[in-house]
Amino acid sequence: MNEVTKVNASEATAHPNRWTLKNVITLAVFTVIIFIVMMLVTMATNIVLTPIGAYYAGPGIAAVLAGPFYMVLATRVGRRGVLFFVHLITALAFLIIGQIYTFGVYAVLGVIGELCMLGRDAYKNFWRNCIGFFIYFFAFSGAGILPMLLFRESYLGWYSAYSDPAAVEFLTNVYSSPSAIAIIIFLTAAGAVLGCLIGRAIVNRHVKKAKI
Amino acid sequence: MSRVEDPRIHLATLLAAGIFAIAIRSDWQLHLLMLLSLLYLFAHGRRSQSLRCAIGYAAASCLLIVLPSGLGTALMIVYLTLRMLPVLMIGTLLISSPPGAILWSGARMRLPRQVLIMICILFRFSSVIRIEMAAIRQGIRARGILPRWYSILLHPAMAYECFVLPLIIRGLKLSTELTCAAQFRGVESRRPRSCIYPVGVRPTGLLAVGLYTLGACMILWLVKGNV
Repeated sequence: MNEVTKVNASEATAHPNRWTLKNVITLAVFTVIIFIVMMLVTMATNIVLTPIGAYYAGPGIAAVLAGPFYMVLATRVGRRGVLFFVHLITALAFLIIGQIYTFGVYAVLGVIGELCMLGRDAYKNFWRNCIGFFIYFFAFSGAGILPMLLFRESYLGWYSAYSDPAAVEFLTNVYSSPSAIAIIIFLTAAGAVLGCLIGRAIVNRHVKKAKI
Repeated sequence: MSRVEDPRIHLATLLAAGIFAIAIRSDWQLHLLMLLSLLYLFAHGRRSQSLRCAIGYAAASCLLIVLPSGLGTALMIVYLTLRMLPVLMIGTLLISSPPGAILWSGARMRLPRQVLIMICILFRFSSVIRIEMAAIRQGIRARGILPRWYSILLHPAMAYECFVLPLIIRGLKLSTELTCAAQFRGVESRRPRSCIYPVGVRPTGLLAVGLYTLGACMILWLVKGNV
């Protein structure tokens, strides 16, 4: 064990909820990976499964692929605030590419998600992590649903500026249908659980054994 | 050592570009805003990058005309990329600022240290991850696991495992390496931060932000039908 790891380990033992430099860096590194995976999968599903893929299966598939990275992050850092900061960084990344509504949804759901993770050793509990990860991806799929339900007119006005009328009509049809919303939420939840299951297997079989 | 533009100048321009990219409504406004961003990039000595961006913008614009409207969301992605390119170009300038300069100007803005470190890692790692992904892909090819481009479609589970696992291990190793490097460079020091680069807000930087904002205001005013 090198000197830095020794110092970090002793700090972590003395203050279990204090963030060390390594925690901050690990969080940043893995959030970048999760965001990139999310964007690549969304682009691929948009191209391959368009237009259904973008709304129905996109978040679920992205959750399956990003799940292992989140599980490794939650297991390795395991401090209060992990889920909130993952939401916050993603929200800022969306803000940079002009997605104002997505930024708002991520910021609000980040707080709700972190509240769901309150309690001792929440990040070591598999099902609690599944809930947290589902909230994270619900923010991704709900970035269209929630503004549509809360402030429909202004959201459609904003969306119309970015897209052609056919896409706006399709979006209105999908996000106005309760059955479509239910399918999206179900697929996102299924994807999140599957992603976390794969993530847990990877953590147990590879990451713990590698002792990095 | 050559002078580096203060990251606060790029940040101010980025905020202005973001606001104007959201506010504009017509294609002409977008073209003019893109021209403004190209000029900003060019003025900061990024001649080849501005040329590449101009070519990319022209190609994406042509793609938008050529692609059939039935493509829906795929079309929207192209449009969104096109629309955000003027902002992303300024963003690349900010990202490519030396981490030391970002830390210095962030400390001047009284940002929390942990947040600053996170921002620097985000900027630093977002450029590294592409190299890491390419290295993993080359490693897979070198071992003859997925020799052809369509092999991923034939063995998706194997492709997933071969890609995700090395990326996780690399991410963990990188976070350890970056922590060591950051601690070695005194990132946790509580003393006032200095910078090896001669940074600071200069009149030319302020002029660049001012001209960019003025130009963008004129674009908004012009295409509103005032001229």
